[in-house]
Amino acid sequence: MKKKNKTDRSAPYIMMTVPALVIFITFFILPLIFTARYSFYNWTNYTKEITFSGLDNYKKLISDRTLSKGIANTLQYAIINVLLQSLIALPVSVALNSKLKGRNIFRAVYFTPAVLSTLVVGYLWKYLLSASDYGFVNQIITGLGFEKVNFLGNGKTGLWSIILIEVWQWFGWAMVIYLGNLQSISDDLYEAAAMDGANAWDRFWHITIPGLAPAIKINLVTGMISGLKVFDIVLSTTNGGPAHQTETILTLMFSKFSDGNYGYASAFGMVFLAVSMLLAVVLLGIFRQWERRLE
Amino acid sequence: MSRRIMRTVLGAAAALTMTAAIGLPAMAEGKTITFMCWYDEDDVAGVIDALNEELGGEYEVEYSYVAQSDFNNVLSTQLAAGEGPDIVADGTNYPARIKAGNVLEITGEDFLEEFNEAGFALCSDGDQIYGIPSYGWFSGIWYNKDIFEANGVEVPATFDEFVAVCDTLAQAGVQPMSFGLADGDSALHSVLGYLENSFYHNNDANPDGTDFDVKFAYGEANMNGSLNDVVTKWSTLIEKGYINADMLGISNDQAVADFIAGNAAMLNGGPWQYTNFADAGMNFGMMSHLSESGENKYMVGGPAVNFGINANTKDPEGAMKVLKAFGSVAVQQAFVDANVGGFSYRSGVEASMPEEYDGIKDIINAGNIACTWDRWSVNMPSQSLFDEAKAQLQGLISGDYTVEDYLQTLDDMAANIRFE
Repeated sequence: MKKKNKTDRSAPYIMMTVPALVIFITFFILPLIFTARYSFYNWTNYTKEITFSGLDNYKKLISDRTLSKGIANTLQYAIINVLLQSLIALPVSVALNSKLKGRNIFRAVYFTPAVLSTLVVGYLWKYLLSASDYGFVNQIITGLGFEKVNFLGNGKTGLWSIILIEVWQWFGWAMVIYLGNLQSISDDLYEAAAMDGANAWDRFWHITIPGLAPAIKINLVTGMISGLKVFDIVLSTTNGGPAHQTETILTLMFSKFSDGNYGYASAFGMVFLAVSMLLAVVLLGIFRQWERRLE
Repeated sequence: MSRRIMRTVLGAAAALTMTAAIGLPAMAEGKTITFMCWYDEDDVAGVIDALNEELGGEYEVEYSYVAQSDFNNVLSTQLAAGEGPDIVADGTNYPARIKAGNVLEITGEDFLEEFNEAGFALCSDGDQIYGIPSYGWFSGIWYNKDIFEANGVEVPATFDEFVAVCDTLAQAGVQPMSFGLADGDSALHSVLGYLENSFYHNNDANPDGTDFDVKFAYGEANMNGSLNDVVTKWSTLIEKGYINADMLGISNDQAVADFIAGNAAMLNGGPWQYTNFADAGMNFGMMSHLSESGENKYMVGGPAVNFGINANTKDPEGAMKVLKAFGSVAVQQAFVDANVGGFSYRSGVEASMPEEYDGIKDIINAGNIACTWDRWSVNMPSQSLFDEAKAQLQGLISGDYTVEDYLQTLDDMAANIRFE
C-alpha cells in the first residue's frame, strides 16, 4: 500500500522528465550512436555506396597533421579563455557590487557584447584588427609610432587575438554570474571580519572567494564546455588560417564535412567527444578537491 | 463590441490560414523549378529574368543564394539526403557530382549540339554528357594604367620583367600588388597562373604538359619533386616582399578596395570585378599571367558554373525544360553580359571585350585558357585540394613552410581524396 502511494507521488515527476529525455535521446544519444557507427565507414559524398572500413578513418586521423594542431588549439583556447574571463570578471564584479556611482551603467556596458551574435562580433573585429590601412586598431598603433601588428594573419598571434575577442565578448556574462552570487554573501561576515582586523585582501580571499565557489564552478565548467565547442568566432575571423594555425577540432570537423568526407568527419567528432569527456573528468576532479578543502 | 471585433479578427485569420494552406501547394505544384548557386541575387537577376521569359510562364525558376564558402557543404548534404534543388549547379566539383550519381545523363539532347566541346570539360564523363556550362571565366592581372604611366613602366611580357616592374614601383614608394589573403585565392591564382605558363606549357623539362595533372590525379606523379623549381622561381615575389605575411591579415574585399583607391598598382582577378573598376572611374587594363619567355601565354580559366538535372528531382520533365532554357542564346547571353569580358561556349552568343582587355584579347581568341584544378577533377574532388592549396600557400607566404613542405602537403592531401 505504501509502495503504491510512493509510485503515485513520483509518477508526475517522472512524466515531467519525459519530454527532456525524448529530446536528449533524439538530438544527442541517437546522433552520437550514428556518429560512432559512421566513423567506421567509408562514407563520402563522392561514392554511391557506404562501405565498412574498420579503423581506417582513425588511422588516417593519426597521420593528419592538422589534428594535433586542432586539439592543442582547442585546449589552449578553452583553458586560457575561461581563466582570463574569470580573472577579469571577478575584480570587476566585486567593484560593481560596491556602492559605486553609475554601477548600473557599467554593468550594462560590460554585459552588452554578450548580447551580440558571435559571428557579428567576429566579422566586426576582423575589420578592426585588419592589417590593411583600414584596420582601426593598427591605425592607433601606427599613430602612436609602433609597428603594425598582423593580429589575425599571423599563426603566432592569431589564436591569441581570437581568445582576446572572446574574453571581451563574454567576461560580462561571467561578471553577471559573479554579481548574482556576491549578493548572496551576507554583509555580516564582512563586518565581523573587519571587526577582527581583517584587511580588504583578507576579506576578499577568505570570504568572497569561498563564497563565490558555486559561481566559479558554474563559470569554469560552462566556459570550458563552450570553449571546447569554439567554432563560429574562428570561422568569422581567421577561418582556421593562416595555414591551419588557428584550426580547432570543430572547424576541422566542419571542413571534413564540407569536403563531403562524412565518415572521416565522424571520426573527428568522436575525438572531440573523447577530449571533452577527458577534460570534464579532470575539471570535476579539481572541483571535488577544492570543495573538500572548503569544507 | 470588443468580443465581436475579436471574433471577426480570429475568423479572418482562420480563413486566411485555410486559404494559404489550400492555395499555396496548388500554386506551387509542378510549376516551380529550383536552383541554387553562389552568385549574388543582384548579379544573377538578369539570368533569372531571361530564364523565366524563355519558359513563357510554363515553369518558374526559384533561385536560392548560398555563399561560395558554404556552397559545397550545403549542396553536398542536401544531395546526400536525397534532396537538393532541381537544377544542380557546381563548378570544379561538377565531375565529383557525376561520379556520385547526383546528376542525370543528358547525352543526345539536341540543344547540346549548340555548345562547343571545350564547354563540356567539367560536365562530361567520356562520351556521356551530364550538364551544360554557363559561360567561360578567366583570371589575369589587373593593372592601374595611371600608376604605370606615372612611374614610367610598361606592361611586362615575361616573369622577370614583371619582377622588374614590381622593383621599380616599390622603389618609387608604390605598392606593386594588392592581395587579400585572409580569405582570398588571388595568390593561388598567381602561382597557378605562373605554373600554367612555365610548367604545364612552354617547359621542356615537363614532357607530359597538362597531362602531368592527369597523372597526378591518378597518383602516378607527385608535385613534390616536379614543381619545386618553378614554384621556387615564383616565390621570388615572396622573397622580395611583394606578397607578404601582412597580406594574410587582409581580406580580399579590402585588397580590391585598395586597388580601386589607387593604393596598389596591380591586382590578380578576373571579369567578375570589371564593373567595380569601371564604375569607380579607374583607368585600368588586364595583362596575362606571366611566362618565362613571354611567348605562348595562357590565362587561368575554363567553364564557370555548370548546370545539370538533380537525380532526385520530383519533376525531371520540368527540370529538363529549364535546363534547355539555360542553354538558350538569351540565357547564355545574360550570363556573359553579367560578366563583362567572359566568353561563351554556345554558338550565337556575342561576348564583348572592352578595351581594358586589349592586352589579352589574342590569348583568349587563341583559346589559351586552362585550369590546373579542373584537370585534377578527373579523379578527385578538386575543390578540396584547391582549398587546401590556398590554405597551405599561407604557410609558404608566412615563411612557416618551404616550397618542399608546401608541395608535399598537397601530395599527402591528394593521396587521401582520390576517387580510385
